[in-house]
Amino acid sequence: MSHTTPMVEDGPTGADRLKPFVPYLLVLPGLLFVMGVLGYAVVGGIILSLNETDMFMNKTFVGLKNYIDVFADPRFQAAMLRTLSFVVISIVLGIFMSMSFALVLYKVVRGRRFFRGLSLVPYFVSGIATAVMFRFIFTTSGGFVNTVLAQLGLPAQSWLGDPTLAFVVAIMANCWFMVPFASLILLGGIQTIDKDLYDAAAIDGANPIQIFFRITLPLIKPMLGVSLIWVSYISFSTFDIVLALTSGGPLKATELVSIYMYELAFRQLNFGQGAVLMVVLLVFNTVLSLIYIKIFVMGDRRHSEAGK
Amino acid sequence: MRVQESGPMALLFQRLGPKVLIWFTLTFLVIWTATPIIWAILSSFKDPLEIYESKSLLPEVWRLDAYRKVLSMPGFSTWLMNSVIVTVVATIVPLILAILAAYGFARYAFKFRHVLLLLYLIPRIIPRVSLIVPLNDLMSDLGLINTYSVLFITYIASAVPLATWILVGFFGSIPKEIEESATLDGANMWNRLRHVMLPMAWPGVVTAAVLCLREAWNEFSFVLALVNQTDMRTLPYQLYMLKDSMGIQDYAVYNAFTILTVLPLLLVYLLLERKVVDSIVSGAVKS
Amino acid sequence: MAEGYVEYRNLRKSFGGLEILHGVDLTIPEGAFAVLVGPSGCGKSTLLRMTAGLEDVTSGEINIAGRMVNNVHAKNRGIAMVFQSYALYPHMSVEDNMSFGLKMRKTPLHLITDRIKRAAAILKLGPMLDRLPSQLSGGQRQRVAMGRALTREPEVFLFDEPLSNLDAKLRVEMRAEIKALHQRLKTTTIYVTHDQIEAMTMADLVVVMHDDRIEQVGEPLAIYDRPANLFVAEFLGSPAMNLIPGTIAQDADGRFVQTEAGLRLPLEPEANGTVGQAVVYGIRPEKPDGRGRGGRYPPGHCVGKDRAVDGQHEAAGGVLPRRRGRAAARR
Repeated sequence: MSHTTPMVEDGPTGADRLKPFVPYLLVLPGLLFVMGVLGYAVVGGIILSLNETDMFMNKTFVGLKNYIDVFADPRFQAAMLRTLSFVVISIVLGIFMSMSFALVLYKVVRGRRFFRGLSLVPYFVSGIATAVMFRFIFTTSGGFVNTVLAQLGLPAQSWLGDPTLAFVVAIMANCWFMVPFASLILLGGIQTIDKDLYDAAAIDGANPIQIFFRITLPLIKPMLGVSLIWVSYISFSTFDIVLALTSGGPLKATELVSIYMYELAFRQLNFGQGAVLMVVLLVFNTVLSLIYIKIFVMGDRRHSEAGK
Repeated sequence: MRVQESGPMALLFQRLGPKVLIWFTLTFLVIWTATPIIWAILSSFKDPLEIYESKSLLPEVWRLDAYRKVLSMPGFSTWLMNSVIVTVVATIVPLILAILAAYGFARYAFKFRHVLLLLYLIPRIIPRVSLIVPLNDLMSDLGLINTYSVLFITYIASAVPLATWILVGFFGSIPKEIEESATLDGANMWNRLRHVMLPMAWPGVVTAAVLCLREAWNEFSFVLALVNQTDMRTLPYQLYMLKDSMGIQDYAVYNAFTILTVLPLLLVYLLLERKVVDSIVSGAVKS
Repeated sequence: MAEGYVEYRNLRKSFGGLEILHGVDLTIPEGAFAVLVGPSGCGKSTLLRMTAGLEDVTSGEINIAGRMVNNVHAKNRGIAMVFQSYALYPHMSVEDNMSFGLKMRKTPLHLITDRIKRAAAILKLGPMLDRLPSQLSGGQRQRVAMGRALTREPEVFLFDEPLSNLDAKLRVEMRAEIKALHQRLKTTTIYVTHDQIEAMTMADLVVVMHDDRIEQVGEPLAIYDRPANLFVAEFLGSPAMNLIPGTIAQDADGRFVQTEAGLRLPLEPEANGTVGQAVVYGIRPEKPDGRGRGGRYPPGHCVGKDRAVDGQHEAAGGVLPRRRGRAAARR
């Protein structure tokens, strides 16, 4: 091509020399910043996990010693098991609640906007505030639950003093915080389903339960995947809620990996081992997310795109 | 349906069963969602001793004492200002970066587009808590502990991917023809962005802004790891520290403080609720 | 207004090694209403978008008003375009939609007001200037899209299937309106459509495109009567032209076409083709008698006021080269 007319301005006409770089100039600043900070932290954390640190943050390279020590540490093993059960229970309960809320928010006609708006409120309450609120719901003297129990003539419970009950309360607080977002995601999935399908299924003689399992559930699979990622991400990295609710107690009954990590690094000043727990959290969460994406989102891309 | 089920009682159950279930679940949803907040509000108006002793749910007298105490705390205005400053910066800067990036992703085909887009997603699956250990170490080395900069940097870095992903969806859904039409109308990239893309993607911009606001206002782990001076605390951090700083717990003050930290963000949310909820339901926001 | 013409010289377009426009040569005279018509995916929209400056030119030249515009930015080409989806700015009032382009060009305010007034008067948009596109009907939106193009006072109007989103009745109305507008303004217009009726009724110059190249260019009736090849013959006209395969033969009366069924079809003396050549004989359904020898028709089925007749018939017509592609009748 031998063009002599000068290019007047940038834009789709294209001969502008800068043009090929425009998208990169747009996309890269944000990415470099994010990668700079988070990548720096992740890499720094991995390096830190290979070092032993003393109280003055002097580091000596020790290879995998921290990993060996941490994995052999019974307190870590307990925290890990506790985290896994916390996550599993949270996911099961959280998805059940999200699905129920989503279905109800879909079905309700009068005041639909109000209920939807209300349902998302907890999402905007900080983890710390959530924890404080739940503490005053369940606190022994003057808590909401015990006050109600008293009015019913029932004995007060030491909710946060009992290891099992405290664990349950922590899961409840976690669900309170994470369910709203998940249920709106699911609601979005349910709304994209063509209403004719329900009518067709009803004419075919399916009852509501069959309709849910045969029509709704398969069609919202991608959304289910997204909300599963959200729910398990939040549960795995729950930190502020539990820290402010129970500080890991009583008797370490709610000491999750994230809490133990904080304890190791910031209380015992063992940053090397703390960093090992960081790697553990990172790997678990990434693997879990990838599994969900593989199962739910990738496998059903056709659906989600058709739904848009 | 089997034959014996279609008697009058069964029919009645069939008609009413789902309705009852819906109302039951809806009632549960409302109670479940509202109770913690309402209880905190009620408690914040009570007398400290009343909380321990009274068997009544409502305050005997509605007192504002607790709020007065919170507002007169030395440092409350500092913490509030810290929260506001950090939140404003950590909302505006990520929004600008995200608008540019999202526009690039939505409107240009280029090499590595897919890879770069995925790189924007990865930070969303990194648990932020996990970063507190290395961040504390690295930022101490840089001498950035107890500075605004360190909060800006970490908050912005965690908000950019979120905002970008939201906006890519919104920009992408704007028909290309409209922008082409603007090109023919003589609008350059900035003008197209300003006069066409941003106004049309406004619900998305608002949603992204509110969610950035939420992340920054509620952020806790980063402050915890990167700040240890009293005058650098943000509201959530101070709320956490209340537990240790008050000798005998004044539940009313505690609750009042909670309400005051939660309220500003809730007001923003209630103001823009429609756009935010619609955006999330439409699937434009995926964590 | 109404100066300039559009000229394409060996214009090509490739996308990642795949050529999607194979060497277009075309001249559109000043003031003409040219319609690019062809099935979807034939390259007509690409050609239009390249003219607008929305697509790069791979090789060849586009000239507008004697100026080579390959590297001129879209906004400086003196064109205005009406999109299939109208592409109205949904957040702007009708007035703002029409003035946006002028504002972007820093046109003085009083000029903007003048031009909007004039465009609104021509298109009867006066009462709607304050409304948003979402408050308008399909036909009104269409008018706004045209008004937006009008205020620009371009040298060339480009229309990209502007009527395909309207219902049948409105389409007929708007067709007439666009044509009337052209007669009034005499601005060179390039109009893309897949609807051959639009092409036949609106164009001064029909450009039939197929498989990323031009099949035939000419006035509507000329093309209709003398399609250059099988594709054009089949594509134009509804119901479609009857096509009967045969062979050119000759006897004492002159040349004729011998069909496989043994019919003898007359051949105009000026028709090209040599004896023994395999040809396809085309007969327009609406003139079955012409110079034909009559025949028996089964009862017809109704298509509006016309009666379409399905049947076999022998009649006069032209001979088409069997091979598709470049046609002898090309100008």
